[in-house]
Amino acid sequence: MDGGNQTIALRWFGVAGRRSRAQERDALVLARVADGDASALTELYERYAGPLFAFLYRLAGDRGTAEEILQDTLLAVWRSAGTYRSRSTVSTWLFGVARRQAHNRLRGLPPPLPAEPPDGAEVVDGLPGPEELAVGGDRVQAALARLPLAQREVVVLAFLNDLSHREIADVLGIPVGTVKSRLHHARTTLRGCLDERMA
Amino acid sequence: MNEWPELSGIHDGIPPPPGPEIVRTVLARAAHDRVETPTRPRPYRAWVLLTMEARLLHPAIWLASALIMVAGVGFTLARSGASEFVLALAVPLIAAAGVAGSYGPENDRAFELVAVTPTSPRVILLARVTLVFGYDLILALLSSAVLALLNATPLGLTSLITTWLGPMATLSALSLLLSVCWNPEGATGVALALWSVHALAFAGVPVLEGLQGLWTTGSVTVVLAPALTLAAVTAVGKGEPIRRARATHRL
Repeated sequence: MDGGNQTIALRWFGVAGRRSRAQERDALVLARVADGDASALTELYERYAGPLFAFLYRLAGDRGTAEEILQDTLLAVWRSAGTYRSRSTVSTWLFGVARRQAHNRLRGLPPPLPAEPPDGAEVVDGLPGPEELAVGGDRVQAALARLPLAQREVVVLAFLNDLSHREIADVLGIPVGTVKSRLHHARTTLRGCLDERMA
Repeated sequence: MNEWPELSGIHDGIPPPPGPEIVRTVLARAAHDRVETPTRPRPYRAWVLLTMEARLLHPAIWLASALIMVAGVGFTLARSGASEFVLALAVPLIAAAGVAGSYGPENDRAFELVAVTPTSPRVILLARVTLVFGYDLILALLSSAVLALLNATPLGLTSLITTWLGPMATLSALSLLLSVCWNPEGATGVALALWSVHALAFAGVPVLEGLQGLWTTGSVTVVLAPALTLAAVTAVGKGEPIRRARATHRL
């Protein structure tokens, strides 16, 4: 092994070690939550507020609903922290809880649209369509609105939260193959949107 | 990883997450919604419910049943040969009156208090019916056993029991349904009226054959009594009972 490879290997082990220690700390904090320590819930929230809220915001499409689901998620964590069995990382477990709460709230609802339509966007029947949003407003949200919830959550976890296929499969409780096929279908749908816009 | 042009900028435009004060809101919700998980086994909780409900039932229910039954047994012992007549008439009526008076605001001093507890009104009704009907059943069985042991009846113990068991179940179930949907006094009145018509048959007055079939221990009773009880349990807590149409004072 030459010097360059050695440095890369040491860096890799360093990153892996830091990640492992962070996971251990998360597990300890969650154990304190399970014991009824409210400050531990705050600590856990401060660590994961950003990624969890971003995930829920992209799933729900508006801030109010995302905040409600986030509250539901924290409540579920507070009540069921004792059920965590270290079979996955705390992060994966938290995303799994958040995803279940999102499903409870969003199941059966129409796909999300941004709460406030952009100024000047063409409004048909009182609501802007995905095309109008794509032209003048939140283009990403308009694209996500095209996807059914099952595909939307896979896409958001993959591209927003940068989770691997394996991690997404753990969060959603589905096989890795299903993650890949949902991504494939989502890509086909989104490409269709892009082609329509180009045409 | 992001090679999808539609999703470029997926990290942009996301509002900041709520501050840590959201945790306080969540903890307040948790405290507000808390429902203690029952840790005791189900039979124990059922026993506790029965003992608690027994305290709430009016003492007259227990006393009247016992006194009438003792009087019936005494009468039968004094006039040998009337056992099937006395028990067949008295037992169903005692049970029907007791069951009718076991539930509802008219006879329940703790009705409003019980109504706000998490226990379903159906469970309360079933508990009280179990207590009253069970108590009357035990009294009637004891009376029958005493009469059989003292040879005060020409019938055997089983035959003596069948003279009152079926009618007791049907008449009690009917009065329970009427008590839930109407009021205990009305239910007792209807039960008494129906039972008087039946009693005419003992006096030799011709009564409709179909009606007599209701007051026997047989297949009709086996179907009718549970059906009426089920209807009463289903009806309890649903809608406004007839008796409470004027529950709110007119201003």
